[in-house]
Amino acid sequence: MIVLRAEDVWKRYDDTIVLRGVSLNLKKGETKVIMGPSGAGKTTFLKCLNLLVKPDKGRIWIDGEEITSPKADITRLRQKIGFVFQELNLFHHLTAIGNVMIGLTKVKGMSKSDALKKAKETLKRVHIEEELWRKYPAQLSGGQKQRVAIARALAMDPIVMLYDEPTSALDPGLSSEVLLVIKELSERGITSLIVTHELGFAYEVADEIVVMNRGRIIGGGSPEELRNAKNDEVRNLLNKWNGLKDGVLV
Amino acid sequence: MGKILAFLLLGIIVGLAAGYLVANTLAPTKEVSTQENCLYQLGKFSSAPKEGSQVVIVYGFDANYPPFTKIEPNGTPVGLDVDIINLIAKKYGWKIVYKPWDWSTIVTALERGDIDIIASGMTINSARSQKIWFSIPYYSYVHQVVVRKNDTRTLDQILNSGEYIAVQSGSTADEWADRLLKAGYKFEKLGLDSYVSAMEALLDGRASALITDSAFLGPYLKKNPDIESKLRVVGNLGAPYSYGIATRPQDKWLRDKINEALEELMNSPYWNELLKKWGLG
Amino acid sequence: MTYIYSLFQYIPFIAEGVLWTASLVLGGLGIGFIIGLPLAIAQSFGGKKLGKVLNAYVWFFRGTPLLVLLSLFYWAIFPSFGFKLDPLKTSILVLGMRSGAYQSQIFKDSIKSVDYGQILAAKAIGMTQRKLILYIVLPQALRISIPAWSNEYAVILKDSAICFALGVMEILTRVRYVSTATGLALIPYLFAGILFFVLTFSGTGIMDFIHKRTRIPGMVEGLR
Repeated sequence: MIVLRAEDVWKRYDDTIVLRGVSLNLKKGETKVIMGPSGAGKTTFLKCLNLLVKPDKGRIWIDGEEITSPKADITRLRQKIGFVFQELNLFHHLTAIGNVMIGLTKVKGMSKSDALKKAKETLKRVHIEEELWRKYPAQLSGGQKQRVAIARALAMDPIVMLYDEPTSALDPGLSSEVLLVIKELSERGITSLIVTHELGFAYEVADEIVVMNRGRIIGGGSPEELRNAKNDEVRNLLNKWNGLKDGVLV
Repeated sequence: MGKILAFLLLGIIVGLAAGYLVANTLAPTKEVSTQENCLYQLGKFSSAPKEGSQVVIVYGFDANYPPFTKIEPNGTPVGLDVDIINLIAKKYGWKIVYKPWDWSTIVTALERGDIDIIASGMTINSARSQKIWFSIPYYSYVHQVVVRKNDTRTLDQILNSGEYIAVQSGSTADEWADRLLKAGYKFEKLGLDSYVSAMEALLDGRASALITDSAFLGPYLKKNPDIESKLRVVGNLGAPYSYGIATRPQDKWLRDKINEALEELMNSPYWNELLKKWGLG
Repeated sequence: MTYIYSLFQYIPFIAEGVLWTASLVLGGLGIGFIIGLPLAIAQSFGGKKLGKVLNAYVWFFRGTPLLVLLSLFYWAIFPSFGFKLDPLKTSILVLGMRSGAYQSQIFKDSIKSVDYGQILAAKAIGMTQRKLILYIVLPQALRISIPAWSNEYAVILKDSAICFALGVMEILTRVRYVSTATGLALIPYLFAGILFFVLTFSGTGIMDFIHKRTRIPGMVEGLR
């Protein structure tokens, strides 16, 4: 069953064409990883999926409903997509638990006590322990912030989670705790679409890896298939990344 | 956090309500606003009002000019001008509403009907007479140049000394200073916001001389004999000026009534007593 | 000594002016807030055309001297709409409209300083524009505004003295009268200075207190 479908998505900023007809399907329970060099259009594509960036052309369906339709109820459809940003943008004025609760109370209309219960459960799922619940974002480490951000998105019970380079703003030592959480969630059947530069992590977690370059999908396949990629462009990129230390492409 | 912001908002709303409440309870025109119909009705005193109706005159003044107008500790205005208006009102059975108003906009306020008369040491001059019309003059004065007692120079020497001469900004003394400067005299004008502060400037040496008028200076020195001993009048400037009660041009009936009462008052023996009471005799 | 005594007699008269000044300042600040905050929100989130119209409002009230505004509204604008407001109400409204223009700039700047990432994040969890303004932007922006806002309080406190041009008996007017009535130039003004100091100090003190109480733990001022 396809829960997220993008068809021929185009986007240009001024005179730079960032996306040149990207199409992608995501099945329930599946984890896909999008890789590609900086400027390939990965982040823009991800933001197009919940219309944080409005595509110039192309259609996108969430759970069978078209979000790009002029009649679409965008705020309702966005609730079905959990989005984790590259920047650590928690709400500064709310505690960790407040960040998770605000969507539940103000968007979903849950009662405070229900939201509190749900927020606690969700924070535990991302390994944020009780002593951190009442801390404000400025009192948390980068890895903790990003895990709270994951919990904030996850608590809304989305049908798909999108991660936009979730570890690139973190110190290298803090990446692993975030990647571990993403991996656990993915393994428990949360449908995920992940943009990342961490090749090792991608091989470990992905059902399928999609490779993007210059606004286009140039290849893809399971990790196994990619190791033996025939397409020259994909193979060149992979070789380049494999040559980098720890598989991190900056 | 949210609670405190809510309190902040609440505070603002309470402040607003308090402001509105105070505005309502303190409104200076309270007495007038009960007769809102006649407020702003220009020309309401152009002819005699209906027989038996109560005449209410809104009396505008700037209580900044003793002994003609000043304020008592309880806030009521007193002075020669206030006495004159009260006597006129008593003669005709009028009701007076006192309304303090800043000198800078007082003529506009009269023209637009916020007040009905001005009696506040207002000099009759041609510029004003184009907008508002005056009663017969009730007091005359002359402009004087004053220096400290130990200053023995003549009037001419002082006006050509290049030193500071204090005046009240916007007053007729200020006009005199400008006229003298235009005529080629060499001194620096020091404009201050009241006669009292201009006097202060002369006494503490910031200014070498003071241009003032006899209407202010006489009573002031009488009240402050210690200051009188420190000062010397060097000379007078030009011809005398006169004070009148200002009304709107179209309020002919009101002006006639005021003139009639003023004439009667000034011809009575009480007039001299009144002048003496305010140190002007 | 007799001078000083005569001044003492006038203290209740001057103190009564505090009520008038307070009604001008609190009323003006309140109306300014009610105008300024929506104005700032509209300028920050509204369209360009609306922004231009609102900018015209802001420029008019920021660029025109208060004395001119007071006369204009009292004698021309309000009467032409059929309102015959007394001087105190006119003064409060004019101070409020003018402060609204200034306050809108304060709030606009602090709304701008809430980073865009948080707005995106709020959209991503399905918040409507109205909700994200209400629950994410304003709680932070209002707090950031407090220091500039208490500065506005001090400014309006001093500006309120100009309202005497319409015959409003605020503190300085009364002091000027007392100065002429007593023949004292310095001491009445000194007394007014103390009154204004106390009003400024207590007002900004309250705002400082609120600012401290709403401090977000761990956040470094100015850095976020």
